[in-house]
Amino acid sequence: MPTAPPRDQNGKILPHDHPEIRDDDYVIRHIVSPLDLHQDPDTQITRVASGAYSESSNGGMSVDIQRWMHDDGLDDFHYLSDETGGATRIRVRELRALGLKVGWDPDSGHAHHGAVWGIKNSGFRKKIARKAETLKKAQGET
Amino acid sequence: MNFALRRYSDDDQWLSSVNTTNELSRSVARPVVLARPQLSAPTFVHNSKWARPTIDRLVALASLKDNWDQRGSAAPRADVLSFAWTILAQIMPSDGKAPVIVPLGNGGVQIEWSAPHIELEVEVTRPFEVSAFLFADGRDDEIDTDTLDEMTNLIAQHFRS
Repeated sequence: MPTAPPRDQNGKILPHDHPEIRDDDYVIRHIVSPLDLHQDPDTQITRVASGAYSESSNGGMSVDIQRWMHDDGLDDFHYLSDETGGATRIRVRELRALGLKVGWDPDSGHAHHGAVWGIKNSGFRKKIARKAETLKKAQGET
Repeated sequence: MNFALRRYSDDDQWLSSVNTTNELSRSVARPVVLARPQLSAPTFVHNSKWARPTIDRLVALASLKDNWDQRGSAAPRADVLSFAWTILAQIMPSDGKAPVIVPLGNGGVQIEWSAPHIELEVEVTRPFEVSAFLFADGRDDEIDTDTLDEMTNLIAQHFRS
């Protein structure tokens, strides 16, 4: 069991860098089709929009922690909600280099669930999008 | 966000006259406000090529519920969608390229245009809370949103159908 994440007085998980999520780990971001996709009508290319890398209203961008899943015998797509969804992965080192925090957030889904905090604007989202590697294309993505 | 839009925001409300002695005694420092009537976009906007797909997209986004992505994201806020349309109606030329509108996890939206080697992304977090970035030639530049002038010029210059 990983070290418990820090919490505030109400029990809410605080933004943190979890010590057992290593810099060379990857986090997996789910991509929703077609809402997270950007289709250019001129080129007919459909790619993941940088808006796919935004934080939720509760704070933090929802991710899965790839190595922890593998350690428990789960594949990268275990938590994808349906066949149309895609997935990308981002190296934790790249996120931390942007000043973002990458921590464990088991309250928001499952034991392999993490969060990325500090994504302030489109500039950050675009930088994350550039670093993201496709694991599985979402339906409609080219 | 920025001064000019905040100033416009201030215009979003009309002060009403204080009309009772009792209210006056309790609200000297808190003027009563009324919502400004909503105005629809000019008719020529609705006849523009970009308008129909944009309206369709906004309507589709309005139907999303909380947790629409199974990742805990908030549903796009109605006031954000309305404000996004208000901005578009002001900055888009009639032959402008229809934007892609992407929901954000916080209830806001991101409005995007792309062309070879250049992209413009405008984030609307709340009404009158707008930021914008231009990505071109390997550079990431935050765009001045104090007024709508820079966005208007960029779209006119780079994103026409």
